[in-house]
Amino acid sequence: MADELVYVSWGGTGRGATLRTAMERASGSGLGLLYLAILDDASFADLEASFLAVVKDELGWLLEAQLEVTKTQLGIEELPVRVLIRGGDVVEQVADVVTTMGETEVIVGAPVPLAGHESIESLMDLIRSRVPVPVDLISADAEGLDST
Amino acid sequence: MSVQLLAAQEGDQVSEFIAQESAVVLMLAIAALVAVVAKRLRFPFTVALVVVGLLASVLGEVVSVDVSPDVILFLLVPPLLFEATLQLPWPKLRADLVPIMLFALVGTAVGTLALGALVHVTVSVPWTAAFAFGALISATDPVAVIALFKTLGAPKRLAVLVEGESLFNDAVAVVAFGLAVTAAAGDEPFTLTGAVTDFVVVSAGGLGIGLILGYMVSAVFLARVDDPLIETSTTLALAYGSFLLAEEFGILIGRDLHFSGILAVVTAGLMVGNVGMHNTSPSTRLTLEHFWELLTFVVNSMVFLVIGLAISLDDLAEHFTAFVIAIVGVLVLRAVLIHGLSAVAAWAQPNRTIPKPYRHVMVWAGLRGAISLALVLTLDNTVFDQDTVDTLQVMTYGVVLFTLLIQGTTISRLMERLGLANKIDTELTQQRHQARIYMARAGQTEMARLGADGVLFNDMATSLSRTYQRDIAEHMSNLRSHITGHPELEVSMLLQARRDALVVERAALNEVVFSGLIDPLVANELTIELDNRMAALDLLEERWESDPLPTFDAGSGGGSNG
Repeated sequence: MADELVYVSWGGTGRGATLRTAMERASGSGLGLLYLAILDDASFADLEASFLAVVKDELGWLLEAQLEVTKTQLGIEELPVRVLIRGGDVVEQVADVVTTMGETEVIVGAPVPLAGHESIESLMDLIRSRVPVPVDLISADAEGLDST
Repeated sequence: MSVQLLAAQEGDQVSEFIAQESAVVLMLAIAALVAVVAKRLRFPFTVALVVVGLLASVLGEVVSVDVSPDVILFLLVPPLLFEATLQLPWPKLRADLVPIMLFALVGTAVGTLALGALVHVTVSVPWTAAFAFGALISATDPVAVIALFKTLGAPKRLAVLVEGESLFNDAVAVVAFGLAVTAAAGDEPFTLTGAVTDFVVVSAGGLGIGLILGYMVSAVFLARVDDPLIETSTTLALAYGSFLLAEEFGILIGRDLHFSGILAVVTAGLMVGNVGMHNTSPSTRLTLEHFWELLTFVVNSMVFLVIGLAISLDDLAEHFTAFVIAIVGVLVLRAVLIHGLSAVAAWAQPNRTIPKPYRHVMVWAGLRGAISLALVLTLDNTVFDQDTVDTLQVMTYGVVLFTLLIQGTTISRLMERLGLANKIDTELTQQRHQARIYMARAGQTEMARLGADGVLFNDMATSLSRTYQRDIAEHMSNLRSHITGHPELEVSMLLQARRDALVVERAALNEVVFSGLIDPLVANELTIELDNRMAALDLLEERWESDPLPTFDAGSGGGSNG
């Protein structure tokens, strides 16, 4: 079983505060942090495969830089972090990563609207029904966690 | 275009040429003055020029204008189109080609017919004249809006949609206008099949000429010659040459055959911007950019001052009803077409819908300008009777004036209300802090140099350097506080830093290519890779960072992003 907290995002600005909260929580629990970035079908399926690879590459660079900046700001340079970029359906990808990698906890950070889902509640319910570990939500103002 | 000072017109000693030259010099001086004031007031430059032109014509004729449509179309329009396409990245244009072509082709065709019918019924002009008006007024001219987009930091996709539509609908409007006038002249019987065939031939010819000439200059000439002046002159010749060759192609083969000059220059410009620019050295690119920026400034100054000078408020008052009908018709139809065709585009490309706020801005950004003016001025009483010509001209002037003065000056407020310009204040503050750090660092470096050179006593240099260091620390602290309060800027700073790094990588690549260290094939491969990386950053900013869909309902228990 991996000792990592999975921070899930499929885009959106204003994630700085939510990412800080997730990293503090991972650090406090003695876990590492896996940043799972999902390029969902609704926004990225139209891209050619070769260009999508470049997009993933650049996003990886950007997120790794953001993680390093945040670690330094929080003074938790020793926290193990890594970025994983997946493409496809958000729910499917979260479920796949958690089950295949044996992750223990999932945090969804400041989610942007997702085509095909009417509300964040229904989306969170769907993720929770597919994932056998606790799934928490951090809203954009990052005031706290909305636990399962 | 004959533009001259009235005093010179009346005087005997001053030659016609000197009079015209004086008028051009005066207009450039006015434009420079207007540019300074407009910049200070953050007012759209081109709109300010129209206002000044109008005031000049109302207050008394200082400058008299006799605008020839050929001068506008053959002299002023090609450089404006060419410069606009130089800045248009093909990957972005290609990504939105479906909606852009829908707006340009279907929008212009439907707009021509619908507005024609409205004008025929309400203003009582003949069908062909009404369709000619419908066509010429369909050509949008977003110069004022695009400049404003840059100032407001509007999303790049929005700018590409507006500019892309404008470039291609100009061509369609000119062809549709030509068909209506030909039908009115009665030289050839009008048939739908004939019109479609003409359209396809004229468009394909223009695209073909632009592609061939653009490729020759971009991939062959610019790749082999490394001289900023020669390369820049060649692009100027390309802009005018492609337009002229397409429009007058028949002369070469002894037939009455015209292709679309607008499509030719647009295609040639896209080739140079997306292929040719990559085959030039950094110094050539700088020269090219500065040259085209200057030429566009000069040409825009002329075009919009002339628009202001040419419009007679008395004529507008005289044809008030027709003027109001035209404006209402144009506005309502644009709203229907943009929203309707966006729905069609969304059906064709479900993953690439145009967000509703973008559509609202696109409706209001449909300004009219030089092309509409040039086309209406080609009308004379040989095809339509003089009353009809006067009515069409007044309606065109009215729509151009309304869109420039009302829409051009209110679109920034609309964008602010729609949340498409709300990042600008926080970003400007961030940039101010960063600029102060840069400036202080430069000052500190200079102090160190002066101290080391012995120009300044060492203790003085050290003290001044420490003062600078305190300033830098203060600016850094301010920047940090600002970013903490606006976390979304953190990612935008990272994106910008990555962009800057890619630009430097590109310059380094150009250096090694120039010194012959790497094979051109490798250089080309790496150039494409860097371009794709840059395009990927733009795409991430648009699709990953922005929030194009309505946010989740706050009451639904979850957070929505900022």
